[in-house]
Amino acid sequence: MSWRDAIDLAGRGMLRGPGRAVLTVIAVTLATTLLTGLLTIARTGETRVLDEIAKGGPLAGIKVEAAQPAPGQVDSDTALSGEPHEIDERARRRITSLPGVASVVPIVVAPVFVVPPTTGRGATVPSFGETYVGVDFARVDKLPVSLLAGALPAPGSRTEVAVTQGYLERVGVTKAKAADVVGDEVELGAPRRFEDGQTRGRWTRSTIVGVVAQEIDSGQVLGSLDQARLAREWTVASDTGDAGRFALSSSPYSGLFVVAKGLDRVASVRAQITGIGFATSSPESLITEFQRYRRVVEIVLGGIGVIALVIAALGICNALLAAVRERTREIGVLKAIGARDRDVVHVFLVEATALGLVGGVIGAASGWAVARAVGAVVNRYLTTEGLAGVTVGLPASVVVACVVGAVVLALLAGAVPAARAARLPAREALGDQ
Amino acid sequence: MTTEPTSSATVRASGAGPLRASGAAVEVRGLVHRFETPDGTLTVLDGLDLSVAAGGYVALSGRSGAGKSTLLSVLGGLERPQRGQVDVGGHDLDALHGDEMAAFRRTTVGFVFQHFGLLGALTASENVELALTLAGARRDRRRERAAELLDAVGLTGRARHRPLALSGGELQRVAIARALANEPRLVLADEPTGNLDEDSTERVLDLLEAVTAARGCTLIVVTHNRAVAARAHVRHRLDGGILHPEVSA
Repeated sequence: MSWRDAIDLAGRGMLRGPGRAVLTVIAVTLATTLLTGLLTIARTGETRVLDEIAKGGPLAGIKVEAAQPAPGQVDSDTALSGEPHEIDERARRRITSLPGVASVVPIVVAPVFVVPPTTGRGATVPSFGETYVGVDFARVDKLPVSLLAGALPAPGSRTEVAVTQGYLERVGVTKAKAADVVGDEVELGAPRRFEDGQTRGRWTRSTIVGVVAQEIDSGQVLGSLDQARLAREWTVASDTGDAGRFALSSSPYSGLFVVAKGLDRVASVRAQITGIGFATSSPESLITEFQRYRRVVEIVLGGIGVIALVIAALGICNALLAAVRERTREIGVLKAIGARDRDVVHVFLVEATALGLVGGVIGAASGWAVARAVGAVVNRYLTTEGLAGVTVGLPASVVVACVVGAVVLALLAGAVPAARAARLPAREALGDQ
Repeated sequence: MTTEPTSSATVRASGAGPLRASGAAVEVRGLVHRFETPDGTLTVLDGLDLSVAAGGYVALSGRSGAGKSTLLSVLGGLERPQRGQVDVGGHDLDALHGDEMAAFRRTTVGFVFQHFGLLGALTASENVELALTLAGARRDRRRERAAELLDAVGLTGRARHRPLALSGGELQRVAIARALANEPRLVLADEPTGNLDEDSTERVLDLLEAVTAARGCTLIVVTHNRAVAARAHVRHRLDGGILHPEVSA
C-alpha cells in the first residue's frame, strides 16, 4: 500500500469517527498552545528584562569615559574614574580597531539651560540647568535608549530632541502621561562666560518628539551630535577659560559607547580599553546574574511544558488505542485481504501524524494569540508605570519547533497503538467472523 | 432499492477479467490446532486430513466450536498451522511468514465473511478497490476493475453507496466482488449466508457459485445450513477434530 493510499484510508477512518479525532486534536492543541504561549511569553519576558537592564541598547554594550581607570576597574560593572583622559580621534580609532569590538558610537555632552514651555498644565516651570547628550541617531540601535513615548529625533535633526523621565519630574508630568510633553517646544541655551563676568547663552529652540529612558550619559535632553558639539564649542570658548565651571573637560568626545561582539567578549574588550587607559562601565555582571535566574525560570517553564506534552501524548495514545479497539475488525479484514503489518502501521501513523499536525498548527496559532493577550495586559500595566511596552513576537523557530514537536509527539504516541494494531493476529482481529 | 440478481444466468462472469486456468488444489495432512483456555488445552483440529481438487466446491459443516472457522483460517493463511502439512495451490503454508503470508492471502485467497467485512467508511466501489490497492494496482486500473466486478455481481448502480445504505444481500455481493478482485485461486466463504434471509441466501449462493465456477476457482464454504451445504460437490462434517465425508441423501 502506498503512502498516498495509507493517507486516504487514515483520512476516511478519522472522518468516520470525527468525535474521537476532534477530541484528540483538542488535546494536542491545548498542549501546543500552552507550550507556544510559555515559550513566547518567556522569550518576551527575557527580552524585556534584558532590555530594561541594557536600556534598549545592546547587551554587550560598554560605556567608555574620558577618564583614566581607577584600580579595580576590570572587576567592577561601574566606571571607576581617575584623572581626566581625553578621547580624541586617535583614541576612538584605536578602540574601534580592538579585537572583539563590533561598533563604537561617540557621545558628546554639553551643559545647557532649559526653558520649558508655558503650557496649560499648571504652574510655570522655571528654567533649569541640564546636560544635553548628543548622539548620532542613525546609530541609535547601538545605544542604550528605550523609547517610552513619541518618537526618537530624526538623524541629523538640530531641532528635535527627546527628554527623559527626569525632565518629566522637573516639569511636573507623571510617567503615565509622558506623551503629554511630546510636541512641546523648549528653549535650550548653551552657557558662555565672558570676560565682563557675564554669562550669556547660545539659544536654540527644539521640539520634544519623544520621551526616553537612556543610559548613555547623565542628562535629561537627548539630541543630535552636531547640536551638542556646537553647544560644547560655544561653552568651551569661554573668554575666561572657565569651561571647567560647567563641568566640561577639553576632550573632543565626552565618551564612547562600545559594543562588543557578544556577551562573552565584553570582559576582554573592557580589559583592553582599561589597558589603553580609559574608565569603562558595563552591566555584564548583572546580565550574567540575570541569565542564571533565567535558567531557573526556563527549567520551571520547561517542566510545565513537558507535563503538557505528556498529557497530550497520553491523549493521542489513548485516542489511537481506542481507534485500534474500535477498528479491530477492520484491521482483521485488511489483513485477510492481504495487508502487510507495515500497511497497518502506516495507516495508524498517518492518522497520528495528521492529528499532531492539525493540533500543532492550531495550537501554535492559539498559543501566539494567548501570548498576545497576555502581552496586551502587561503593556497596559507597563504604560501606567511609565515604562516601555513589550512587543510579543513569535519567532519562526518557535512555531516550527512547536509544530514539529507536536507531530513527533503524535508519532511517538501513535507508535504503540500502530504496533499493537499491526501485531494483531488476523484471525483474532476478525473476532466473531 | 436493491438490485439482486435473479439467477446465476444473469452473472456476467467473463466481464471481470481474464479467467484462471484452474483453481488451487488443497492438501491438508495431519493438521492439529489447539487453543489454550482457562480450563486447559482445547484441541479443535486433531490430525485432520483434507483433499480438494483444483476448481472443487466443498462444504464444511459441523456444530458450533467444532473448528470449521479455524480450519478455514488456516487454509486462508490467517492462522499458521500448529502441526501438520497444509498445501494450497503449491504453497506450503508452514513455510510462509510475514509478508509472504500476506502476499499469499492477497493473491491466492479470497475471503467472504458472514459479517461481510466491509469497511464502513468506504463506498462499495472503494471496498472492492481496497483489495487491489493492497496488491499495488494503479488507481485507474483499480477503478476500472472494481466497476467490472460490481457489474459482474449486479451492483453497478450501488457502487457509490456506503455499506450502511446497502441490504444484507448487497453487502455480501460487494464482499464477493472484493474477494474476486485479485483473481484468487481459492475462495473461502465463512457462513456467507448466515446473516441473510432465504431469498438473499439463494441469490448470493447462485452468484458465488457462478462467479467462482466461471473463474475456475476452488470454493470452500463453511455453513451450518444443510441446504447450503447440499449445493456443494463435496461435503464434509467436522467433528472431533477430523472431517467425516457426507454423502448426498
